[in-house]
Amino acid sequence: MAYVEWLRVWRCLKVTAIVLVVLEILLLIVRISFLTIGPGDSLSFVHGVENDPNSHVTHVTLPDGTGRTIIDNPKDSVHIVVDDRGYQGKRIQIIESGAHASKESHHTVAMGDIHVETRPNGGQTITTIDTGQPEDFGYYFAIAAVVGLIIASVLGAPFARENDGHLEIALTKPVTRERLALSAIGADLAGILAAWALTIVFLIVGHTIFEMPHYVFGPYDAIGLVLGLVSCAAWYAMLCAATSSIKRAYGAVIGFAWPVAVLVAVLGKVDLSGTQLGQVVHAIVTPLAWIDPLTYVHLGRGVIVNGSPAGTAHSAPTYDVIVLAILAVVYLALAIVQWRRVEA
Amino acid sequence: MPAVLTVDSRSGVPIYLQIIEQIKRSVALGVLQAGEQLPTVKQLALDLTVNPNTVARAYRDLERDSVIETAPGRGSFVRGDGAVDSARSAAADVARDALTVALREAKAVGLSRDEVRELIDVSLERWFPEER
Amino acid sequence: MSTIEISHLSKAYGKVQAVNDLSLQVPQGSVYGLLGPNGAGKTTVFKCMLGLAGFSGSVRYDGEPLVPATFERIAYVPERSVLYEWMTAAEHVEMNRRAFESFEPARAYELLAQFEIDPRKRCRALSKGMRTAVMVALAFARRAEVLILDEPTSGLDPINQRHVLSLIVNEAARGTSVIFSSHQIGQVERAAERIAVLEHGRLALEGLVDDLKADRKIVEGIFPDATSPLDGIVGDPRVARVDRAERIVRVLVLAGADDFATRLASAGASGVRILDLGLEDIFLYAVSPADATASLLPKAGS
Repeated sequence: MAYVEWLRVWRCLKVTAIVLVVLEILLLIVRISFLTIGPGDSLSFVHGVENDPNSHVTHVTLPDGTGRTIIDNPKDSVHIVVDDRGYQGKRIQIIESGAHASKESHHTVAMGDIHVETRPNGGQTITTIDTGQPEDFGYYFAIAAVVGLIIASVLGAPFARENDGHLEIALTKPVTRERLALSAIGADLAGILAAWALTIVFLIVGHTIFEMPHYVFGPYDAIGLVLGLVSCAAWYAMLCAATSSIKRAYGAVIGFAWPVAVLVAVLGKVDLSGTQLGQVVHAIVTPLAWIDPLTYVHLGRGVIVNGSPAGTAHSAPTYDVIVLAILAVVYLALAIVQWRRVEA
Repeated sequence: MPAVLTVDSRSGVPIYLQIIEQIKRSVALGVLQAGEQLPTVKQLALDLTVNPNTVARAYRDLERDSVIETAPGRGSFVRGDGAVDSARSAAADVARDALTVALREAKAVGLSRDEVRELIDVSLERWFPEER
Repeated sequence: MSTIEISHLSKAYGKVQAVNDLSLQVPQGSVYGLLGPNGAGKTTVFKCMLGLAGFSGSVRYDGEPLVPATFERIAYVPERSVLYEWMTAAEHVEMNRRAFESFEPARAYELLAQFEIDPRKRCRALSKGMRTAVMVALAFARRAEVLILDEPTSGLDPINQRHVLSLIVNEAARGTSVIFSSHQIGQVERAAERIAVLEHGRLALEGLVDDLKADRKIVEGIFPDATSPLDGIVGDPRVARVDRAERIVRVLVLAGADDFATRLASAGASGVRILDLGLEDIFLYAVSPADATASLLPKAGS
């Protein structure tokens, strides 16, 4: 059965690779068509000021090859300097004076490799936008996790697929059922890992098409990676457990699992204590959310404001990893125990 | 050995008996000569597509009836000494039985002795013509 | 090297008793035919023998119960296609090569060629008969000691059916133990030494084919009138059934046909004769002895 499962995984990965390559080519096409547009187009605000008839626009090339565009609009008291380092990214400095200066405090926002820093300077507000900054892998892992969850769903019913008319061939081998089950699970988990790898390679290549990437891999990223992988494994394991005894409609079960799991995960985080119905729902959903792998998935650090993640981010990813790992093992054990008693 | 053996699996006669009968007939007719080698049990089983044990049983009975002899390691051969005669007499037994049954049927059907005599005379003329 | 011993095998699916206290033995190196109407339980018996379904009773191979390692010596052809439709025949060959030590890929390809199957075709593109042929090729490419075949010729054309039969005979010559079921009684007659007839999960008949044919006969006699008594015949335990139409009486006997012929003659019958039974007739009478449609005599007016 392992050979058959490896074949399935291989077919699945081939399709995934083809889809990613096609996306890559699309990105390449997008990139090439943008080349004809030119610098200063990255922000519509900058673009708007540039096209204002009251603006003075000057282009200068610095000694190191950077193309500098200076846009001065005395009417609106806006002074913009756009440094286009080409492939290395852009640095845009916006100085707003007078009426357009806002009384904002100094803050930074980082989204991926775009850092925005806003600071007051006397009567001015200086906003600096820097692309091409070191980027953490959070977004990458988020996307890879989505791909991984999809692959886990596609592969997620190995036992049901055997039950659907192949048991006479699967179970008449000189290997115990447990061993067969474990070898199939191993193949599928390897497939999920491979899908992750393919996605990350795709993302790195995709990013490189547009801009030279700078990567920073810190401990938070390491935990994020493990969390992503384990959540895919736990999702796969849950689907295995749900479909291990059935023969036919396993596709429907997997299809239903998604919305139900998402619903449970979302409801588990929402405060429902306002109404009585809400409290009943909360009581039902909470234990379900506990065993729902999607509850523990959070997509990266999101937007980082002043150095810490914004929004309701988990502060204990290690805990999540452990719970997910336990869930994965328990679900797989459940799947195998059920499969031991299936009759052809 | 020429392929004169056929087996009718739908007949009520056990297959091993059919094989025995046909080999004896072949020997009686001279199609199988004295000293000629028979196919191996396995080969005949494959040729006829029948169970090898069936062929083995037929060979055993043929050996018991002294029609063939089996030398271990060499194969089965038609016996040279009197095998033809015993085969012929076995075949004769079959013919005799058939004749008896035919006469019995004729009586049951209501033919008279004279009618039967007439039928026999016609057949005799045809198959056993007298020298003139 | 393998005998199969089935002892008091029973299997129920819910309320339906699919197999009921079945016992039979397949001696080593023999070919055993399993006959029975549809739904008689033949496939269930095979599934129980292979551990694919739970059952009560015991199934032993060479005296040992079935464990995963035993499958190295057992080859199985199931009744319906269990091949993976999305895989090719060649991939199935590779799968078997990895799973079984005694599997010979060269022989598998040879058999596939004999059945005229392109190994690179996906199984979903194969007809039912060709899928059966693939499963046969996979099973016979192993030097198995036990062959369990459930309708191994279903869907095959007559040429390929004869081919499968040749393969079975070949295996029998090698000393492999074979148990197979088939609706083609002619095939069973040729290949099997012993048969068992299953009906409603029970054993209706069992024995050596040659013995069954030698013993079971129809004895026919014509009586002077339609009401002649048949004492000494009807009550005999060796009599399976008696049918009479007008003056003709036919007696299905399980043994001692000559004896009954004499008795009929003594009771006043004339034109007494003994009719041989083919295996198909033996089977039909075994599964529906009291059924009027199986009367020993044709219906009046037909």
